[in-house]
Amino acid sequence: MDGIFRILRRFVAAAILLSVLLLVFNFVLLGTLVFREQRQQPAPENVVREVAKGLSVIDGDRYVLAEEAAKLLERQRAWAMLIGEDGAVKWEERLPDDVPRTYGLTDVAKFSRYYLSEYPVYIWEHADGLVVVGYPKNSHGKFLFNWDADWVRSVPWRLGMLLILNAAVALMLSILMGLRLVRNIRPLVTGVHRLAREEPVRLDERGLLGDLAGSINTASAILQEKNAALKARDEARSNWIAGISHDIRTPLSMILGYASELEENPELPEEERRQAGVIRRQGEKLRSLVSDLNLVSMLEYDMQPLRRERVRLASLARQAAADMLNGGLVERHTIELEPADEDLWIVGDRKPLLRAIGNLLQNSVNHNPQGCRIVIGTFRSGDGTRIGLVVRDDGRGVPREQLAELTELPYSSKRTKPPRQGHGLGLPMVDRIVKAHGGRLLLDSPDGGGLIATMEFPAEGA
Amino acid sequence: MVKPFLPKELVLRLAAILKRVFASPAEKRPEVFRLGEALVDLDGAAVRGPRGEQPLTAKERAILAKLHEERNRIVTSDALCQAFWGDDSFGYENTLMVHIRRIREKIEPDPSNPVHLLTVRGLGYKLIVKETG
Repeated sequence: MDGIFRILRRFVAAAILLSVLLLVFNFVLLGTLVFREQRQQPAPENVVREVAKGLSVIDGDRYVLAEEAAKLLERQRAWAMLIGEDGAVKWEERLPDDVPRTYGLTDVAKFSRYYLSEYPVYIWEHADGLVVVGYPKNSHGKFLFNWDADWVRSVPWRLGMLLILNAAVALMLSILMGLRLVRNIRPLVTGVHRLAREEPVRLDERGLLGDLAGSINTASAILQEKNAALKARDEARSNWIAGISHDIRTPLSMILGYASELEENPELPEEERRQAGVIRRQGEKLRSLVSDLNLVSMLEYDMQPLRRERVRLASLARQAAADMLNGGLVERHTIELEPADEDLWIVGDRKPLLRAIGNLLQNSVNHNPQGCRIVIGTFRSGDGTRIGLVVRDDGRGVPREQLAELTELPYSSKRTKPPRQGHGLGLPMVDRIVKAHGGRLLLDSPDGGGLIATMEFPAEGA
Repeated sequence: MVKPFLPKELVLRLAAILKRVFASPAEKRPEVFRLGEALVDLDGAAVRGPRGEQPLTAKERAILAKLHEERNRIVTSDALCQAFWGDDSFGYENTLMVHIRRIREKIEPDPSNPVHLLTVRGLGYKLIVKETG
């Protein structure tokens, strides 16, 4: 929804800016386009003033017009005359015939405001009377304006109101249009958001943005279909492995049962009992391999349900170490616990976590038959957001370029070398268990040898 | 067991369990066991040893029972604490140490150099019981 308000805000701002620009543009056009002719020719008032100035008297009653003023009149195709105090024309220039030669007070009052025999005329005072300049008929319009003084004083205020009202209308219109637009795109926006969350989307495909809605619908349908197919395939794989491992376990139990019966049968010769023991031990290996395979595949396809509870890392480390020691460890290998922060908790399933640490310990033991010193420690990252367990050994270590593929499943295409020892499920299992708890497994092998496996989890509440 | 299973498998499993339970009565958890010169009687909550008969407190008896249940194996201090104080709480290690010390005073010939109830540094404790003893 935040996005939609942002769009609306932008839209309104753009609309206001647009109307302001339009206003300025209109003023400019008014000056350049509408009143252009007006400015190209001298205003009638200026012409009549020039004429009045250029008219000079010689010999008492003869008048002469200056050459410049005469040319000005000529260009405007205007005529001029001087009316004396007595109302008679004392001087004339190109005066048409239909213009009277004498005027009374009333005539002067009339033509000073309007027309003289339909000629638009303009007047200016002169020392000897009144200068009148007339333009051709229908060439100019004369209008008389009368304004109330109060009204004139209120004009700035009224203009201001006009602008404010204009702005308000522009704002309202833009908001209305913006809302309309938003109403159109809101379903699309929510649709895209839901698409991002991989939820099914079904939008109305009518209207202005119908084809866009159609595309979103199609994308959603494709996504749903693919997800379903992917899930079905993962499930099928996992079920297949679970089924196979169950089918193997059942006959295996019988093999183990009979083998151990033979092993403990006192009537059999020693050698045959020993052989039965080999069958039993190999069968047990097979059983653990099958159950490991099953667990890894369940974890791989996110199908292993986790029983989540608060677990203390230090307690996990101790338990794993104790299990390892109780399982019988050769003297060559030692396991040490680093005294660490006891108050580190994660939310997780105790059993798989113990299994993960156990795998790391077993890994160090298996790959260092010459013996090594294994240290388990816990840590909290500097910023407190991550906690974890470290299992270090001082054994042979792993070439750096092989570290990355250690967590890949054996025989996966990402693995360039087959597992060196064991079934190769140990580290991939640790990796998947840690991932299922929202963490990650980091492997490092310093140049001096040894392997450092770090299981890192998000700290509780972080 | 997960269905479907073979009836034969069930029979074999049951046989294995029965064998485990009844095969040798000596393996059944004895309420009385010997630790060197001392004789621990869990039922009577007492230790009879070179220093005469000494009673065991309820906690001491419970700790010994748990250690004996897992005899010759390391029992982490967490597991011991959890068994007696409940949940995965911590901070009881010192209390546990006091109890262990008192138990040693009763069962060990030399409590400062234990030979039966051993400390596994950093992990927990281990009760050494000789099966034949």
